[in-house]
Amino acid sequence: MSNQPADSFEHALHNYNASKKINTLQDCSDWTVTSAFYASLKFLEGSLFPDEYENPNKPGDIRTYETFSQYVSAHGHLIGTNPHKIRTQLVEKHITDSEVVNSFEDLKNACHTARYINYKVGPQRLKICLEALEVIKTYCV
Amino acid sequence: MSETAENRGSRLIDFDFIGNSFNQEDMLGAYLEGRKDVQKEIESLIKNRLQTTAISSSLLREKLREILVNVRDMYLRIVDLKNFECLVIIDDEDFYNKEKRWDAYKAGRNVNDSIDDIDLTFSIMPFSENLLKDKITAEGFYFKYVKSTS
Repeated sequence: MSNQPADSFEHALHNYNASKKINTLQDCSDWTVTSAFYASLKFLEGSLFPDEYENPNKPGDIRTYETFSQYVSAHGHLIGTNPHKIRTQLVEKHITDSEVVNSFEDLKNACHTARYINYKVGPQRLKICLEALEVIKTYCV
Repeated sequence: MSETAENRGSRLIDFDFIGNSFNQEDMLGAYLEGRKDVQKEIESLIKNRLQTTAISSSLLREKLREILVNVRDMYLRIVDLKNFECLVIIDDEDFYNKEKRWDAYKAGRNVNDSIDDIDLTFSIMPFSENLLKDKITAEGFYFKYVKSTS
């Protein structure tokens, strides 16, 4: 039996706890958001794998993938090698709870666009991200 | 005396050109011509796909207008031959309204799902006084939405 879920969730909880601790510090909201995003993606990886998925380029060819890395190794060369992109596609396609999908997008956007506001993540954006992380944790664990 | 591989310009150890009428200059010439053709094909492909990106981004702008989300700015970039990104900056009061924000995400996903030949990511963010336009351009967003005057 794969130990991927335990590994992913362990890593997710590590990032989750780090995010909570960083959030107690002054002026580190950008790092709170970043660690929250990385916690969320590990929670989601743990929820998505192991499982069966169809080969994106061979309809009907369904195989079991133990880990997200295994899935990327198998198909990354065909569907693009950016793991963030591949993970987002898996989340949007295979997670049916729209609140989780939108919460992940909240975190992803906040993390990826922080550079365009000089990493000055305001309290409203921070609140959105912390709520999003809780939604994803509750769904996945 | 037969012509050697070296004096015909091959200079490859243990390998020679097939026949006597083909040499290294011919081979390099064919390669460079082929490369020019490939470059033209790639340029044409990118141009077409950028056009698809621009049309799809305008469509999203229209969809957002319908759900009363005001777009302040849109920037486009090429990630690679298949992947493109549109950075969508909306009014902050619209962004901080959860229902509007999530409807905007959904509209972006729907527009992307309707495109076959490219994958277009919409990154939606609120307008901010701290917005660094130079940084956005430096990250490869070389195209900005310009309101049509027609």
